[in-house]
Amino acid sequence: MNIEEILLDKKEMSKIMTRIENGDEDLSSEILKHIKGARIIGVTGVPGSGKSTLITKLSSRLLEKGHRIGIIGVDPSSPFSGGAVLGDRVRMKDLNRFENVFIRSISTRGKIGGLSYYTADLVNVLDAAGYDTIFIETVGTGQDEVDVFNIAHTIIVLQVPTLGDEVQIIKAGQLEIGDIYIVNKADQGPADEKIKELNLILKKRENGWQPLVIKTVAVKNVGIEEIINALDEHWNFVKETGLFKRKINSRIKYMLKQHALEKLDKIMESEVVDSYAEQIIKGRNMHEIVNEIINKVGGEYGKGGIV
Amino acid sequence: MEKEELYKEKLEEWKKIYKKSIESMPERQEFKTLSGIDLNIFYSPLELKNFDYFENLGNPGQYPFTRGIHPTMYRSRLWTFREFSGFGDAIETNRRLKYLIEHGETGLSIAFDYPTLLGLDSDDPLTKGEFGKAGVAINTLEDMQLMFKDIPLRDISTSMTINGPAAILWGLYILAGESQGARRNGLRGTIQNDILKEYMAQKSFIFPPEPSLKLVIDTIEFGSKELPLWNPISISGYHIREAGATAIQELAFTLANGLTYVEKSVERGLDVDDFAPRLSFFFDAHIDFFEEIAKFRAARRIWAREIKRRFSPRKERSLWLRFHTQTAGVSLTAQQPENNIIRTAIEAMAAVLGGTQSLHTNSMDEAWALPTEKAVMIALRTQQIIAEESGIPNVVDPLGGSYYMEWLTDKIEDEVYKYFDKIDNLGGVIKGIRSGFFQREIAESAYRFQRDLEENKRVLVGVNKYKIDEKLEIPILRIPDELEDRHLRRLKNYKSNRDMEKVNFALKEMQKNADEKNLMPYIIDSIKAKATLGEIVKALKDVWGEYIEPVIY
Amino acid sequence: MRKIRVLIAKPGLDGHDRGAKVLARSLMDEGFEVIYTGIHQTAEDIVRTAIEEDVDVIGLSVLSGAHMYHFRRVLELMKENGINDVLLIGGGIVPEEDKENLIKMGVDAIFNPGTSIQEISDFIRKNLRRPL
Ligand code: B12
Ligand SMILES: Nc1nc2c(ncn2[C@@H]2O[C@H](COP(=O)(O)OP(=O)(O)OP(=O)(O)O)[C@@H](O)[C@H]2O)c(=O)[nH]1
Ligand SMILES: [Mg+2]
Repeated sequence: MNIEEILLDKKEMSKIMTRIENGDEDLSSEILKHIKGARIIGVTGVPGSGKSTLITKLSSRLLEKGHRIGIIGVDPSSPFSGGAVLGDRVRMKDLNRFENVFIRSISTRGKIGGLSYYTADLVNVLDAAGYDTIFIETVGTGQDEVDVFNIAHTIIVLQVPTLGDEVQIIKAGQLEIGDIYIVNKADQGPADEKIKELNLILKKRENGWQPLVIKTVAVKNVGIEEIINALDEHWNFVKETGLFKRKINSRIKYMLKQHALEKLDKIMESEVVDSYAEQIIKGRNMHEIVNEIINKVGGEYGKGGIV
Repeated sequence: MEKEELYKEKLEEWKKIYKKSIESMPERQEFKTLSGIDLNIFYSPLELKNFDYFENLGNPGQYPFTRGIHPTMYRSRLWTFREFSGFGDAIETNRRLKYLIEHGETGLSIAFDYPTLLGLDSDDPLTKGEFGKAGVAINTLEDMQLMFKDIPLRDISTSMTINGPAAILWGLYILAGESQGARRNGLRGTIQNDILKEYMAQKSFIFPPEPSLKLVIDTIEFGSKELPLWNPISISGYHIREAGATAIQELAFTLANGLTYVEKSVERGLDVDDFAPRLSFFFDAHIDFFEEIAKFRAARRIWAREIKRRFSPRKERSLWLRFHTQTAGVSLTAQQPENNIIRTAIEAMAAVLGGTQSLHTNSMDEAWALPTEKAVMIALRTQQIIAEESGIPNVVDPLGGSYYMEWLTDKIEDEVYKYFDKIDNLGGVIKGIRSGFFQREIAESAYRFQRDLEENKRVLVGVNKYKIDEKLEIPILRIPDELEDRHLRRLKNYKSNRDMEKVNFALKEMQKNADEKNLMPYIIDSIKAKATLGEIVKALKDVWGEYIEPVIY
Repeated sequence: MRKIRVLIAKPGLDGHDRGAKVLARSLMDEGFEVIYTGIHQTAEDIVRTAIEEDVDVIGLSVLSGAHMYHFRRVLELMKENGINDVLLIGGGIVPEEDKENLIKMGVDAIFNPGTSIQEISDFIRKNLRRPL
């Protein structure tokens, strides 16, 4: 059966995702041939800022308009056991009344940067399966979550109103990557101040886009329509300015880098490293060792990851 | 302190013998209370340097009420024996209630089924499979009347474990009482109606916290005007504890919730003396005997102090913390269920020594199903043995003055105040709920408890020690399917014999006034128009929305 | 080795989530990826989640007494969707007799109160229907 047909079956598609998440690179490359150019939207912001809620509201609206929506929610893995509890779906229960939506929860599996090694590949699966709008909810630690920038056409950064005297400085990285800034939970505190502040700091991007700032109460559906419009506006911008093409390129480069890094990380976490450490102490040349490790990435550990 | 030097000197001496003694006989383990408070090997006046009898204890019935709220305590009146019950439909539950009254129960306590707890009628598709399983299904005024058929509501007090839709069940009860000829202002009983702990622990919330809290204050206001003998709220630590909290968290969160209700009621313009005397509490009696007693004593003292300090009431009654207790369901095991009788007896004794006003003892089949009649009977007899045979109720607060007890009471009080500070820093209880603070604290304690069991750091007899191979043949209470059919027929009939125009009008009026006015009269009018529980709740959901909780593990 | 994915779900109106949450977190400690969807799930929600998340195990926690109904519904929907390589297990308050009937209906295992997490995770590892 051809892969596009297989992807029509949710259950089969889901299994493909599992294989890819476990390092099946042949499958990853096959999928890549079938991507259709879905709109990819990254959603980032501190824990509890309302990312899942917002994605749910936006998705409901888009589903009603006939879109097919894919959602990937990323949660952190435990540094001790490597396990994880994945909970973004809880907020998204409302989407179960729609058929044309597919939600997948993934764990970072030890990676930093807000995504897992194979998030881009999973996005490709959804894209190839014809989900035309794909949301990626990043981990939400609010720190260094800039990886999504490599994949998403549009990035939504969520903020919440500053409450009382608690200082909430916007992380530098977050200020640079956003296309649309949301001040959510406007029902809970002085949102207008935050908006003013954001409008002051956010300058026009090099590519010519002036980031938008929108006030919302996601739980009450307030401001959702404005975001839908802003998303469309930015999507037009993306297509008109050639950004769309550039993003495909950056997504593929990012994927490659992640695949390589994943292998490198696995080697660096295996026992092999102990012997290298010993050798270094005994005086072996660092450069030589590094080369040997790099060779390993391509060699015995090359295919399907280390077993 | 008198003779402090002497005590210290003696302590040094003692330390020498102790050291020698543990060389040959080391201590078996670390010693902590169930809540994790580190314990000394014994307590002496050295730990009670600041102890002042009148400051810390007072005589029974005197501020700060550490020893009890009444001067005579159980000498005048024993606590109320109240067994939580209800299953199937109204008619079946009516039978069980009469059985309990016949066997000496002195107050009723109603358990509702899941659909009712969540404000759904039994014909709602979401309720499939749940009818009557965990309590009784009550949808209409007719159901409420049937449940209390031939039970004179004028004379008995009834407690109803209901929260999200408490105002509506109360309305049903008031009207059922009136239809028996009982006057509103003579009705006695309690609705649990403590919505804050639902978000923290029990999870039978319906609406978001803010409107829910508004509805609770409506009931407190309504009660203070029309049902002076009714407890419009039972501020509950039980559920918080059973969800995993420690004794300290149970007490701290419960009292913080209580203070929130008082604050909001005062903000509404009520005089603290008009409602504070009718606030009641509900605590857990867990298995760590002394810790629980200390908790109850600390509870009374903190409440009296805080109400006095914050709200300066004129009536002394406003300072009283009156409470119901239930023994700890979560301490009971599926394995060797007979052992549960012993656990429950220990817990019940703690409750009585802690000065409870009312008590539910769990049944031995707790971890298998709702209790059978036999099992409930043993549970009730446990209370009766404590009351009539043990001599425990003869003297008020018999453990008062024990070095350990007083130290532990102080310790718990200190820890509770630390939580109060944390909660204040978070911006209060609702903010804490919104941010998941309480849920996280409770989940963390539950997780730690499980870890201790897994690692055999804590023993549960029959579960991780003294295990046996057993074929369990304990009788299980089954809910016959006919009860559901009977109930559904009744509901259908009720719904087809009414004037829908009247129903809709009443519901609309209620919706219009949901945020601005006291809703009780509108709810009562809706019931009179023959609206069902499910319809009233649905109408309010349309105004207020539903709450989905953040998941915190 | 790939990660084992487990769905822990609470079907119906049951709000007893202490056990489910303790279990979710403990299974994380065991290295599993646990999808926890909170209280008040329908059988439809559960099976859909199981498909989209491609889990190895569906675990239902039911203390409400409505276990017969909810397990039956989940089993039906699993069958309808051709899911046959996923373990269906559960726990909570389930009397012995019901437990036997559930196993006959096709539930893989039921764990009563007092079961150690170790026992549960061992069971999962030993009985997986898919290769690791
Ligand atoms: C704690 C408790 C509560 C707490 C719940 C707090 C919370 N957030 O969880 C509170 C006080 C709020 C509560 C309330 C009620 N409760 Co309650 N409660 C209990 C109690 C005492 C212990 C449950 C518990 O948490 N145990 C500790 C955890 C760690 O164990 P566990 O959940 O059993 O999980 C273990 C195993 O069962 C298994 N397991 C569980 N789930 C799963 C899932 C999988 C996949 C696997 C593999 C294993 C597994 O592994 C775990 C580890 O060993 C039980 C009786 C008992 N002793 O079991 C009654 C009990 C469950 N409650 C009962 C009832 C009726 C209620 C109410 C409906 C009463 C009412 N009418 O108002 C309310 C409803 C609350 C609601 N919204 O659902 C009844 C249910 C009757 C029935 N099923 O026939 C019970 C059995 C008591 C009784 N005998 O009457 N309750
Ligand atoms: N008052 C208010 N609450 C909101 C709003 N948006 C979301 N919430 C609530 O905030 C909480 C967290 O929302 P989520 O959508 O889970 O936030 P998140 O950013 O996805 O959280 P994580 O995935 O845990 O990082 C939930 O209880 C929501 O109901 C809003 O606009 N106003
Ligand atoms: Mg989220």
